[in-house]
Amino acid sequence: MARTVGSWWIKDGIDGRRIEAQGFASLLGGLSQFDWTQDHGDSGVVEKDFVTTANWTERSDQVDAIMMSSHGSPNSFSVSDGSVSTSDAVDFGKNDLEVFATHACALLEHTSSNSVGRWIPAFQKLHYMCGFHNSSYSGGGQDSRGWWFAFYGAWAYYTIFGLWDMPLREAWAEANEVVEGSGVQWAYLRATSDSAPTYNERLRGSEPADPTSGRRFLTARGSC
Amino acid sequence: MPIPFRDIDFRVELPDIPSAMPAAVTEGQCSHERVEAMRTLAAVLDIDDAIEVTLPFGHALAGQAGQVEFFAASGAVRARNIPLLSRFDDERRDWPDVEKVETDEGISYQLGRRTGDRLLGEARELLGRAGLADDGVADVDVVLGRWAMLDEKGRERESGPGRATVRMSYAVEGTPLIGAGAKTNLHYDPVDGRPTLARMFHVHRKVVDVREVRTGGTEEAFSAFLADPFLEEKSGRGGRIVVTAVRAGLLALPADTPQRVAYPALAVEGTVESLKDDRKGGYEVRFGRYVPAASPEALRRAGVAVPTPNDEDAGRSRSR
Repeated sequence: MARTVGSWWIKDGIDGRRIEAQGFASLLGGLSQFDWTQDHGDSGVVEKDFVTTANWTERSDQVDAIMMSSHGSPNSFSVSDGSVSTSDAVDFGKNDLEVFATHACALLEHTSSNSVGRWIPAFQKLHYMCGFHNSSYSGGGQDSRGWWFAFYGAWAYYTIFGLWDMPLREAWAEANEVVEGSGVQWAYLRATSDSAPTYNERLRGSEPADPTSGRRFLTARGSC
Repeated sequence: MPIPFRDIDFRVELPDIPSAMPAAVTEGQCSHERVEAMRTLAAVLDIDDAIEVTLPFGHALAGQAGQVEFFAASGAVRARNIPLLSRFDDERRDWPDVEKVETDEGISYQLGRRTGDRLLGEARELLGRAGLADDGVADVDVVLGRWAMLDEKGRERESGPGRATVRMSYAVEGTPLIGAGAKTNLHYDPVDGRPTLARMFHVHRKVVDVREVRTGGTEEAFSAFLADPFLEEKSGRGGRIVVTAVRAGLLALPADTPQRVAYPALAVEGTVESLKDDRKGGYEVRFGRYVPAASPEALRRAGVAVPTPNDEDAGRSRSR
């Protein structure tokens, strides 16, 4: 069975934000290993897609990997009806989600006064949260970010003799190196365990084991 | 309706933007100009089984040991050492010479001078050998990535240095090229005590002409920023626009994008404060924006008319 991907985007006057999220899902959706099953834009991006809500299955948790393009800050990211914050009941991966990648500025900022550990409660069985330590940019040609993440994460591997075989954390770094200036710092937060190590996890058509018990969390960042 | 300049809360010293700035007419390098660079990088990465592969954005020399890619839109070159990207079990990197530095964000790491200089020397030697040692280098530094291990409660238990990156930025007649499309990064991991190239990326289009474009000075250069639809909308709903960083320069578009003119632009970072969520109260969002610092009319007068960034986002044709 193919793994599923989704795109969530809020344009805010820049159509490139839609292209950025859909570029990820559409490129992967063209592979037999993935299906693009969720696509939500502007007013269709709602809080209950991400926050546990009674009598509702979060659409974000009906896919394996998400690319989302909206605004953010260290403690929240924006949706059309407000924001999703670290104080909300976010339970990524309680059903399916393994990779949450977002353009949102500074969502993964990690400092001595504000640990990125504030997002750990959002990790049910989530493997990776990919984002930025500081502000990412719009308006200067950043719309291909999602396409590059999909290209290096899986498309090139499946299409070109298995040669582009790189971990998804490297794919995230390389995607952002194409579209951001070197002052921007990509970042990720990952869950891992001895029985389900995620450091060298790939974005592939088969389901990886979930880190659920004896978990540790690692964050890393680098220059784009 | 544009936001009045006086309504912006500038929490950073504004750069003194001159009333006229250069605009650079650029050309990406052709494939044949990068043949030697690609062969050199393939040899450095021991890609001895390389095949030539056509890609959606250009072509590559590719093998089990890695790839060297050429970006047709800009002449950019990218290379990676595939086995090295998965060699380690986690983010730890055992650099022989690392210093802890106390910063506003907490402890950071930097290479000691001896190792940093050695890395810089190796990077320069490689770029020279590959024919990628371009003129116009504005700044060079060596930075270390940073990792941290956290427990379930989010407390930092351990931290350390990650991959080392030699970074180069570029300028045209003293004006920095900003954006994604003018930089060189060489990323190194320590293997058996030696810095080893893990990845590299070089994008720097040739400058074939320089024109002068009127910006009108600092306040006028912010016109496009003040008319940003997202910021206008948030300001109209009571959001306070706070600017925390401004950099003026010539916007170099990403390597996957054809570009004829690098025009005057601002890179602006900030926060929209005092936003209201009906159920949760106040929140804020941060932003990073590239905006033109010269009007379309000023660019036309200088003979370098270009689409605005938003036009480009909506209608740009890419090389892939």
